Amino acid sequence: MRLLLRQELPTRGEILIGGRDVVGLPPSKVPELRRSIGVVFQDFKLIRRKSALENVAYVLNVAGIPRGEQKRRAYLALKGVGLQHRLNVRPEALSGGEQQRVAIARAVVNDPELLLADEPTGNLDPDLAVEIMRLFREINARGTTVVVATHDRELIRRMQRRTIVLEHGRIAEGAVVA
Amino acid sequence: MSALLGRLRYSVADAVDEWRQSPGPNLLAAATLAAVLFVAGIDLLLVSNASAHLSRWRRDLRVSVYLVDGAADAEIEAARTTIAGTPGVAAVERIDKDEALRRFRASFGELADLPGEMGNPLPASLEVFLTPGPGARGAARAVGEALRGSPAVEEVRYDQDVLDRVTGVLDLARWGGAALGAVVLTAVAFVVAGVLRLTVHARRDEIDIMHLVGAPPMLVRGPFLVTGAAQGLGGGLLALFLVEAARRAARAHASGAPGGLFDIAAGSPLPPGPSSLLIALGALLGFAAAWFAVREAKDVTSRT
Repeated sequence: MRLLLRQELPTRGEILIGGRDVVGLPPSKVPELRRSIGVVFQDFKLIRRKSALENVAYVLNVAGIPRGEQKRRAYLALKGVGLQHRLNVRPEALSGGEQQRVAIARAVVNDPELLLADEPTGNLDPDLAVEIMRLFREINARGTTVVVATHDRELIRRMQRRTIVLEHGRIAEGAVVA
Repeated sequence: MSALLGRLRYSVADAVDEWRQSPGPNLLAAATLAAVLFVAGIDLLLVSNASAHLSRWRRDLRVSVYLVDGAADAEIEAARTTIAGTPGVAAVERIDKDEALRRFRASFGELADLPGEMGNPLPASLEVFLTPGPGARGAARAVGEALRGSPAVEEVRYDQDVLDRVTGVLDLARWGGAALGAVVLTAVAFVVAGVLRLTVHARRDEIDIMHLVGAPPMLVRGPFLVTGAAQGLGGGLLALFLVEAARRAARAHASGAPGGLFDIAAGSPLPPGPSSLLIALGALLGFAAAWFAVREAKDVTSRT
């Protein structure tokens, strides 16, 4: 995940996202790459000072979207994850599941081609984990490629999607499950 | 253009939010800046007042012709006629010994008894007023030349040399103060940068998130730069207020200073020019300090 986001550089090899070489990207172009990718983290990574709506709208602000449009789209994204009633609540007042849904809304508000989710259910109970995975399935159905990193084999089994197994940094198994 | 304005508005709103949520470090930084700018403001106050007086003295350049004790009236009158005929002389006034003593007592109140104990040692004189302007110095010299050899004249003195020396000292104070000020201000910029660095550190996670969602560096740094400039602006205004408060307090205590010394040093408030300079300096210093501080706010990629 860190390699895909250009947080780290590989010692060798190449990384292509939508045909674009991530490794050879000059540092000034990294923000642009990241704006085209939605990211969801295990620890949510929400800005504590900002409300749910402001956290989601921040991505649009970064993209230079006008203020009124930012609010409208952020509202729709939060509505999409069922949080339209928690718009002005700060992260500390939200439950873990709600915080993760805000993070998902933030990740998809910009209609990215790629959504990366790094252990998105690691801090959630099993029911909430299923709920989050259901959201990812919906996002995928709208045309966004969703890459989820997880240690939860049961969740993988239930999702019935393509799975790539990494062991010691190498692909040990990669299969397309129907 | 509208995107740029939008980002600027965001930076200002975020800086205001930051001030509201963490007033402590922001006030500390503003107070540090105010303390240094206060010293700079006092320096500006003294230099601007002294410069204003110096300019006035230059305009009012006059020549004092001290007379020999017991000089004959006819000789004095001859000297007076000679002076009055010199180009650039506007007026000549005769000051006898009693008038000289009265003026001394008016200027040096606490030393008023001194001449009385010694008799009146002050000489009579002719005060020569020159036409103001760049020709005054030449006219003063001409008066001295014209009186050379006059039996009634003990000494011809005009203040140009003193003024030149004072100007030299003021220039030295101005440039020396500026150099010293630059060193102090640079040091303070680093101190304030340290304070701001704490703020940056406290928002480390937030900054990482901003980078991860693709915020360009200027959008990440913008709020910190605005905060720094606002701290400097606040510090400058506070320093200006403190300089004027200190001037008024000093005036209340120093009203009896000899020779109007207080008026020369700090009789007038800081003029608008130096006041604006002080505030602008504060804003610039705060901005520079923030710039140093947010160099810490590098993208996560740069730190790996």
